[in-house]
Amino acid sequence: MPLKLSATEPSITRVWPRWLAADTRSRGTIWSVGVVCAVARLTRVTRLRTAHQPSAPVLCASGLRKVYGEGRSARVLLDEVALAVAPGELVAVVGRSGSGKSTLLHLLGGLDHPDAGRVEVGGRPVTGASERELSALRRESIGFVFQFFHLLPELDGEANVLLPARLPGAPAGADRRGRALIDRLGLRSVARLAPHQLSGGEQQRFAIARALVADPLLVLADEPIGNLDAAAGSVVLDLLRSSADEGRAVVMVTHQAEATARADRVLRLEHGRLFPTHASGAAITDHAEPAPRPVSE
Amino acid sequence: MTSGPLGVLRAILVDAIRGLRARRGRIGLPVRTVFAASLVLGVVTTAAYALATGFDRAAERADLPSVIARFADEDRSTIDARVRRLPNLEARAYRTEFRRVPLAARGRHLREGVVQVADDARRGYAVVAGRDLRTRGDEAVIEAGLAREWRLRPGDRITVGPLGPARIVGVALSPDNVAYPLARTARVYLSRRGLIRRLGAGDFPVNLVLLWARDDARTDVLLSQARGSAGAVRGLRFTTRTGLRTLVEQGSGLVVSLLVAFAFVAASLAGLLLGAGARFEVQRRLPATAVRRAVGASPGAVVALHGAEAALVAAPAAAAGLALGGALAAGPTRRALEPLNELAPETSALAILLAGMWVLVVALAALAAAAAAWRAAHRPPAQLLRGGDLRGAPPRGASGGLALLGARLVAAHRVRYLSLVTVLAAAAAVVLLLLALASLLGSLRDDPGTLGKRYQLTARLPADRAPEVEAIAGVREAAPRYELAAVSATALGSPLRLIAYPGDHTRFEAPALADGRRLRSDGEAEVGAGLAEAVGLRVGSTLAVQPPAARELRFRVVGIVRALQDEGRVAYVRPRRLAAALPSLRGPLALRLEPGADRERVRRGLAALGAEPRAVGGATGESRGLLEALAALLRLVALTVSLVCASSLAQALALAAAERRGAVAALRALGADARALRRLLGGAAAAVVLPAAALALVLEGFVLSPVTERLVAGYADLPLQTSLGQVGLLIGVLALSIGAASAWTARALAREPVVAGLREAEA
Repeated sequence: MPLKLSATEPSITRVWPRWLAADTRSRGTIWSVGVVCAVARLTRVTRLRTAHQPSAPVLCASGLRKVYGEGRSARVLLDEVALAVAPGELVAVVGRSGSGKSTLLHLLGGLDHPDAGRVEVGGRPVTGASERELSALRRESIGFVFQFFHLLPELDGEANVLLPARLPGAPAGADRRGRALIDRLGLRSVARLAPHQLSGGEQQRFAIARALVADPLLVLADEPIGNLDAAAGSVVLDLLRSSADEGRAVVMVTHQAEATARADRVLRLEHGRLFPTHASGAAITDHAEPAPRPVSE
Repeated sequence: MTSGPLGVLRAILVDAIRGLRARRGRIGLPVRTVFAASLVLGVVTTAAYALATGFDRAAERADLPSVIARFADEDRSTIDARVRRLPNLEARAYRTEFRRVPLAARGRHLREGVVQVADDARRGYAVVAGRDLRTRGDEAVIEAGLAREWRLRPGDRITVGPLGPARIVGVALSPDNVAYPLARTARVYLSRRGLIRRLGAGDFPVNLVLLWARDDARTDVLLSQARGSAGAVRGLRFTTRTGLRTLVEQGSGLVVSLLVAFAFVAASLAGLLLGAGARFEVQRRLPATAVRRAVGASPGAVVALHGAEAALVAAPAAAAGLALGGALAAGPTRRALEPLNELAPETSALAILLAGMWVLVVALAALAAAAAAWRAAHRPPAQLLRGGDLRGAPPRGASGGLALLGARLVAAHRVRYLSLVTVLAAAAAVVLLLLALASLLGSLRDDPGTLGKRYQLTARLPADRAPEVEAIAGVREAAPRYELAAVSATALGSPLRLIAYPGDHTRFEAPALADGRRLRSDGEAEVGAGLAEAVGLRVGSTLAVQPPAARELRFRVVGIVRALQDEGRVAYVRPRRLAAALPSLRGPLALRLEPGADRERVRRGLAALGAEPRAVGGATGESRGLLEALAALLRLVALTVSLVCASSLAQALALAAAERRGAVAALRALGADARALRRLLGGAAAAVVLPAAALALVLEGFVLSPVTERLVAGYADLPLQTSLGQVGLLIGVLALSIGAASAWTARALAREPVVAGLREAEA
């Protein structure tokens, strides 16, 4: 059963024109994403989430490029990637292993630096920001969900969820929200258990609760059901869907078809670029994908 | 392909090298741990070995005789007739010793020169520079202390009293006495034949004979026979090689004992560091171990791999640490040995010793890793994969800030946490001990109490005015101190000093008791080790003393004390018999002051009584050079241990941070900035340091200090007590260390890309 996390904001999914990410190989489209992001920046009154314009994209990325290695061994993992995600939108990024999905997510969340391009979250620049600014951005506006959960084994489930609330500069009320999330996600009975005493599904629900404690604008989920069985995975996907329905932008990297079925848009990362897929819920791994291109290409 | 044990060993080594290559960026911490432990061991081992064996080495090189006999001038043939019949005698050599010969060179003068005229083949000294004497009358070999102090070298000229200038052809060293200027006299050796030829005179009478025993273990037979056959030889005094060792090593024995204590602590510290490091490494690689076990590797294979890897990592780090430690200690050790006329070990001998230590360190590192791996390998792989190092449920409750979280992070791994606290506590306890010893070194130089003297002032006042002196504020007690030069009546005139106090002399002078008990009655004596050795006294034997112009006095020896005054040729007695034999015996009043007494006020009080106080010195004067050299050595040991202590904390944090790299990366992904990381790491550091500091105080107060005091009790009275100031200093340093280590580690962590930590955690 999908969990409704909040009823305070109307669902605004599907308000963002899908054509924006239809074909990122088109220079015109990239330009369009850039213009939309710029307009969104100009029209934003304040950077506070409460003042965030519902129609403006939460995430704007353009011209992203990431190269691994140097010289002859250099490989282009991402090339001229552009992406805009609106509030309330759940975008799934699919692609074969090694195609750069996780790298894209890391760049979007400011966990890694692109070689070129620009990323903004809620109108605040990610690229070019100092480490302090990035920390503040992650703390206030971005929630991460990892494939391997990254729960601290020394803390019980509840303490893991409340971890962001302990950070200096944490949003007010995060503590209360974290406890409410534990109750709403049905984790109260196992909240005092250590991560290694929890099932994979329970661990990922705790990790999602942790990602939502600060009430972020953007949730980035890296293979959130990659380590879960179908039933547990379904619960997690419902949570992410609900999270988007609450008005957050959610970008999910996934391999699984059942995950793409819950997405508003499905993009395929191939040859270092994003392509729209024809339908959500399609098989992901049956596409042959060449290795990342050498820089010289 | 090679099969059998060699093949297995080769396969393990290849696997280990491959593994290390793959993680070469992660072996920095274990390398630093082994290096730090080896550095301490290198310093302490080098210094302790060099000081403990310095006398034997010098005696061996100098061919030091078993017995040296000094006597009044006698005809050589007369003496030789008696000496050649002695049992157990391998060789003999005769000397003529001229005392109080003025020496001058390079504008420096010395009135207390000693010239020894030598002739026989066996010299009893080692030529350490230049060559030995030939038969020329204008050649001289000078002692190393004089050469060092006056900067003389072979080829220089020295004026030897009325003989005039002589060319220095060599520099010699003999451990039968400490070196100039620690000894007031400086020795110059001249050739007997050359001198006879130069002066055109007949043969000189001899007054010194060197005797080499065939069997050193039976020197006592030779000695007693020599005493028995001495007959009318006047002023006969014997010195044995064993006695010399006792006397010469009394000074360095204190430091040797301290170094032995340090070696023990350092070895424990090194072992703990190595063990903790090994456990960290095994713990960090639990998932890899689980996978190995899951694919069929036996526990033995896992253990062998970890052991081999630890040995491969430890081998170069231990070699570097030991070599550096040895090199650092070599200079101060040599400087400490020089005043004692002792030799530093050969580089090859030291290299062999350090190679042995290297094998020990590498083996210890391998064993520590193997032991940790053994425990891990015997757990189910599934448990390891799920973070099997955490037992039971974590602590309850989610409240508290980041500092508390840091404390919980570091304390969650209980065994590791306890190891870390123990290592730091041991290191901090050593630092506390060193702080106490640093104060003590000053005391050793300036405070007579350290050397057994518990009175601080003397005043020339008659004994019956002691109550008036005791009435002065700040004076705890006062009593007359009698000191009398005498000779042994049984040992043919061996000089000694009788020291007497009414009542218990330990109130004023309490040299450490080496054997027997303290005085209880007028007929008893406590004799210094030097006198006991020279005259052949033991507990229960009789000390017969011939005071000047008085009848012979006899005392029963009830104790042997390690007195440093007059090379230990002293005897403590009650004054009644002395006063009876010498009615004119007088002595100043010795004053024992209250702790912290106002000396100026005491001086004024004494002045009012018509006396001028005289302060009692410590081991000042000639001993200052030796003590400063020894202090330098201790400071070096202190510095290395302190460095290791400080780096242990930083390393512990770095280790913890490296181990929890994934957790730190996850925290940063959640928005933790450098400030948050500092709080987190500060909490982790405090959780280690605070209990470690408490444990250190307990360790130092109840283990290290008592052990050190007992070890050095034979040499000095060392009331090792950590003052509040020292504890405050330790806490301050630890607090600074927490801040610095947290800031440094947080800075390093914040510079690392977040994804790097996440990827490693996911690998």
